[in-house]
Amino acid sequence: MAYFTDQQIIELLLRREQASMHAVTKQLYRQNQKEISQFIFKKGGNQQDAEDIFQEVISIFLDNVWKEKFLLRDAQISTYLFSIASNCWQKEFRSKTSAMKRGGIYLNEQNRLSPDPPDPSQYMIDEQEMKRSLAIFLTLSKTDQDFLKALFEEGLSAEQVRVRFDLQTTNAVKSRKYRIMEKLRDILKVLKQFEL
Amino acid sequence: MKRPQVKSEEKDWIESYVLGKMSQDDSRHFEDEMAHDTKLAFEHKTQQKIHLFLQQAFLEESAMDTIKKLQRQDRRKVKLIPLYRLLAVAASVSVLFVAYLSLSIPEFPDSENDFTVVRSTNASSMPPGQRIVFDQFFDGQAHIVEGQYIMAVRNFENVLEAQNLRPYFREAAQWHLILAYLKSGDISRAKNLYEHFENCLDCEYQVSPINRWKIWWQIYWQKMV
Repeated sequence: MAYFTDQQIIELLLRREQASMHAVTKQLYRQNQKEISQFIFKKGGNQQDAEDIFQEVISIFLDNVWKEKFLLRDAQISTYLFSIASNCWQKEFRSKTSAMKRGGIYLNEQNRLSPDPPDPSQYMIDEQEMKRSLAIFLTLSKTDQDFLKALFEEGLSAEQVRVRFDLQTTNAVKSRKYRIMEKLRDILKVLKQFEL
Repeated sequence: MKRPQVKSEEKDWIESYVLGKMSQDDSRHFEDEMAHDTKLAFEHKTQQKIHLFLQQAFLEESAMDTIKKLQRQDRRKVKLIPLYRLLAVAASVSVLFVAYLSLSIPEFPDSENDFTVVRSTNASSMPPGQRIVFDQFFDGQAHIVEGQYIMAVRNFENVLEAQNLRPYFREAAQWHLILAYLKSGDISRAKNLYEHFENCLDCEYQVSPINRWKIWWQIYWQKMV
């Protein structure tokens, strides 16, 4: 497996190429998964929590790199990922605790496991989460997601998309594309993702 | 390509530029139009951002797929590790058990007291023929201990030629003879005699199962080798 330095990882991510994505993600996983999982276990989380948090961590990291919110001069990637994990766990823990409180089965044991008090970056992450590209994309219906992927990820022609989605004409493909793009534009406007 | 007049076609035209699908000439024309039309420039910027957003969403999804795949692999590994450990322990125990069966000498119940009692009670009253048989038996045992298996075979064969042997004593001699045959390399005779005891229900000379297994394994191991 090729080894990338932190600098190379950032450069590859900023190129936004599908080809390098797998190798970069694999390296981020191999280098950080163990440490983050151990942290979650130490805080009382289970295997599922550790897996979910790691996915969230990478998702936030990618978005922050693309939005150029993360700069290497501020921290190493592993340190940055760990701090995101710590914030994500606090958020997860709080949501779990309030769910238990609501159910009336709040246990004193949880107090013992309670992590450190929240820091201001927590609120930033909540906001960031709402604006993550994939999270927004997933608010579209599955068919709409597949439609956009066929057109812009796979790069299929209108005719190929017409056949795949069983549409009558290529004009139907175009109008459906406009409809979905408008929907997406509206979502982005509402979330103030871009100043549209 | 001229700027389309229909709005939907204009969007396609902008998209074509954003996705880099325009020829150089058309691109230049588009840029000229954009320089004079702020609405077009705004629409171009918007589409560019939406496509950048889509590109990032696709990449992020691909990263999530990679992570989920790696997590599945690791989960499988975590499940398999205890199984591998168990198999390794089982294999080690099996190897040790087989080594024990192969290398250790079978032990038979101590018959010495039985005969010593007889001999010491009244040695002078023991008929000479019987004494010879007893002596042959103990010599055979001594030869096994010393590793002189051919001599041991001769001793136990002599014992078994005697008439009117008590079943207990005959069986003891036969078991010792099996061992002497086995160690002297006469595997087929050892096997034939061993088979005699395999289904014996009324045997008086009781050999423990583990020692029976040792003899059985050593006979079959020698045959395989």
